[in-house]
Amino acid sequence: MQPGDLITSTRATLEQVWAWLGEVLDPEIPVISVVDLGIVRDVRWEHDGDDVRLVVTVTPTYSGCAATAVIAREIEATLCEHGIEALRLQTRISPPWTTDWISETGRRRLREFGIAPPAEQGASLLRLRRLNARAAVRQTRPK
Amino acid sequence: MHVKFENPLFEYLLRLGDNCLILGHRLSEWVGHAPAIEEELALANVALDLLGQTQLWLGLAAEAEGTGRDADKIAYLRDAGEFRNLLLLEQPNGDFAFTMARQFYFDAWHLLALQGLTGSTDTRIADIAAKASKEVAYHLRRSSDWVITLGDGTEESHRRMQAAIDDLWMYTGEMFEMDEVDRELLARGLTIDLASLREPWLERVTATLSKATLETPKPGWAQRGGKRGVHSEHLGYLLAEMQFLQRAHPNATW
Repeated sequence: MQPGDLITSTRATLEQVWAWLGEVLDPEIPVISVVDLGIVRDVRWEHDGDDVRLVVTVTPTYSGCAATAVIAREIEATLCEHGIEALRLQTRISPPWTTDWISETGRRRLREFGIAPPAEQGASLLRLRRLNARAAVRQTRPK
Repeated sequence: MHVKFENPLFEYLLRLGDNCLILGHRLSEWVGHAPAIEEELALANVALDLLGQTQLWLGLAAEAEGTGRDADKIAYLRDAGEFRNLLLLEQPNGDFAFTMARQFYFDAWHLLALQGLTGSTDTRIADIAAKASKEVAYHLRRSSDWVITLGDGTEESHRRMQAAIDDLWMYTGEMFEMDEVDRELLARGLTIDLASLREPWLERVTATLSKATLETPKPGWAQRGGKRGVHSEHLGYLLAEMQFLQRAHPNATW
């Protein structure tokens, strides 16, 4: 498809779709969106002959997450309101969801809601490493 | 008993799924009866994790079977002789110590088994194992903590935990048994050598029991049969409750 083709102007951009998905709130903690929670893993257009479909890939937080079906319905409803007619929702379990995928905005929202956001594994390791480095410097400094 | 296994992969996936389904159901029986509200929530959460894992394993089993049965039909419309869970997991809840000892023995094995299965040549098995092992790592931390708290607790809690650890011991041997299904899938690179899990399992169990000031039981005669469909009478009662709705109102949904 070439830039300027008529069809490109009628199809939502992926950025637009991500923004719409940002309106879908987690049903159990309705201050954080499914995007900020990190469970929307991929959004893309799929071509099937002349048909074009939007494919949204979602991962469950936990394999028994009771909200999975509700989240799927809400994603469908929200995208439908924005005019997406052909949608395929798929579940992906690998790589498994981790709290590291909660965005900065998500963490702030959780804190405001009264839930302590989980420590970011990378960040806390980094902090530990810094502390260790500082301790090492202190020990080797001449008295 | 001689059973011919025409579809070893289906058999194996049933074993994995049924372990989760039956233990998950047992844990859910605590809802409304747990000693404290936090404990009730935790038990229900572990049950939910196991139910989620059941859906994944039995979903894959349904595909491997290829007859059009789905995970729900496999869970709700089989009778006791068609279940492949370990005997350990169908044992009634007993007191809280008994429930936690059963959980601890299983969690310690389950985590090792899942970690091994993440190396399966079947990526669907490896993916489910990776997802589930993250959840089971928490289960094991929790059940280990309870074994230690009760074992190294009061005289009464110690007595009860030691009794539970002793009574359930004979059901642990089945976890490491290799039959023709296990051997065939191992040869195909799909699964793991269960016998090789015995040593790391025993190491983990002994370390925790020793922290809990409890005695590790001596190796002895092991009960077996669950993974081949030979169960205790307890399973029938469990299924009667679990499957009642689908039996009374076939295909009911809500």
